[in-house]
Amino acid sequence: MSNPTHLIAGEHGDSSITDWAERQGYKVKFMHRPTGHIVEFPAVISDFTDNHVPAMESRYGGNQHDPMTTQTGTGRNISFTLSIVNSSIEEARYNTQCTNLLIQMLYPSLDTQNTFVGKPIINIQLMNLLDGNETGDGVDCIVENIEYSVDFDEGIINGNRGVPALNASGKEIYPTSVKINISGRTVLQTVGDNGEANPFSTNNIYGG
Amino acid sequence: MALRPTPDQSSYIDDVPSLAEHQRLQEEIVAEGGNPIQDTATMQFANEVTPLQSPEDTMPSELPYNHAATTRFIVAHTLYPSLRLRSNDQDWFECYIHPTSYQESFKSRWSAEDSSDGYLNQQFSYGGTERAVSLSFVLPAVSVKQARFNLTQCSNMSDMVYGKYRNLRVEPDQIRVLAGEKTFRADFGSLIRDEKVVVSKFSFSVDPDAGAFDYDGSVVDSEGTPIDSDVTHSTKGLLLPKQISVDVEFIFIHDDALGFGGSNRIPGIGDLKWAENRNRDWPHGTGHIHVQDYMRANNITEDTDIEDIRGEDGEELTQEQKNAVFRSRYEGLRTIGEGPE
Repeated sequence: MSNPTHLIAGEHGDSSITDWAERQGYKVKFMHRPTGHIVEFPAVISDFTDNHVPAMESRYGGNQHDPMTTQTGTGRNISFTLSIVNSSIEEARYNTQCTNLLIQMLYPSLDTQNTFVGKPIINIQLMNLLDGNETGDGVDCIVENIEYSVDFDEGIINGNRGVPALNASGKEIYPTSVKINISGRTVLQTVGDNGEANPFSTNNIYGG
Repeated sequence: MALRPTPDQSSYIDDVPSLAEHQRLQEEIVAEGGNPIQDTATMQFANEVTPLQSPEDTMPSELPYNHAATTRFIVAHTLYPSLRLRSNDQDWFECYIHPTSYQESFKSRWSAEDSSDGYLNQQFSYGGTERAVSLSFVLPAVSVKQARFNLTQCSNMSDMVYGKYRNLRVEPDQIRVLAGEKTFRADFGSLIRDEKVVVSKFSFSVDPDAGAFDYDGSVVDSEGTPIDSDVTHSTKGLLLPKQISVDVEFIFIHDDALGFGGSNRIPGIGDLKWAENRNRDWPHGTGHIHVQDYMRANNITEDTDIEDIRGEDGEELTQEQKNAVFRSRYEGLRTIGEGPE
């Protein structure tokens, strides 16, 4: 049995934003639960939303303005956009492997008959914004959509063998900047010891 | 557009190689992706595809460098790979495009059921992950031939969104009935690499601000017949736009099981490895660097005890026989040894 892979994007980019992210500890980490594969990126986040949605059932009585509500649960929906920038062909190739692994995390583990056996649940740790439950080591998420967008106006990197060979390297094309939007729901299964539905660590949910 | 020239690229416009040279080098240099897999569909197409000219034939004898469309043309030909769509060994679309937008979505299908009271969350069931691409691009034309070529390409692409038909004999007549969607092999550099796709959207628009090539009946050949020049054409009433914008969407139909482990991997050894077992990155190519270990094809001489395999009576086997026995034990294992980088 081989070991899980652990990739860290930007390892080849000493002149890029990676260095700043490293010094500040701005990182986002994804772990594929069925296999244990991990990939980390510098947390260049352009937006982040975290919706906590209580599920309520409402009933209405006669001559009553206000509903009688019953809470049946709470969902937490997250969405954020991660930018991945490349400063060289080497960094672009390596970062592409990292984004490939992130995309592959949307797929399950299979048995010998190619039946889905391991649900592709992804543990996401985004600094203090997604810090996790009691153990504070990330949040398990059902990622429903990954949107991979290329901004061609910011330029591309390709074979880099001199311009005649830019043409010749036609197979390789790496965007200077890629935006990856990730949206999904968190898996919350922990109930606090005090009986209240607080699935977060004892600290503030968002730190501070 | 931010180009990344190296110091020796100051006169790059003069160094643009011919398209034939480009294609030769492309095939020669890039090993990733392998050879196109032929679509085995044998349905009869109601609308046969218009044969494509060689892109090289559409090149003008000299590029008019002072035109905006020319800049796009040069950028498309020097920086970007060609977009290619094939079906049944026939090119339906092959063109150097100037992409303006590329959005690829991976959507997982999850269904949720309510849990027992007291549980915060619903129970989730996973159903699969879909992949689709939305690509917008510009087709610039710097010559009449190029403009005609672009229109032919767009005509072919518009046919792609219509299904394929077959003849059904209903005596005494013969009618044509829809027989499903057309599938293609798509290739666009390292972003789309010889993947089977269905074209789910095609939108075509003319950019009037870029202008059009005008009709000029005074340009004639030696026999007095009107002919096309590089910048005028000979067909009255024909609009040849200098720039066309296209939006197209693909839905991917993958040939291999997607996930980790699976029938192409050796149980117990390849459970954490990518199921494709082709020694190439997925979904996007990464050129000539080594794939990560979990993407590497299983090498049976390193990863297994194949050397210990013996015959039924314990006799020594040749390496070829050992390989055959190994394959029979792990039915479904498609790739043995190193594949394309």
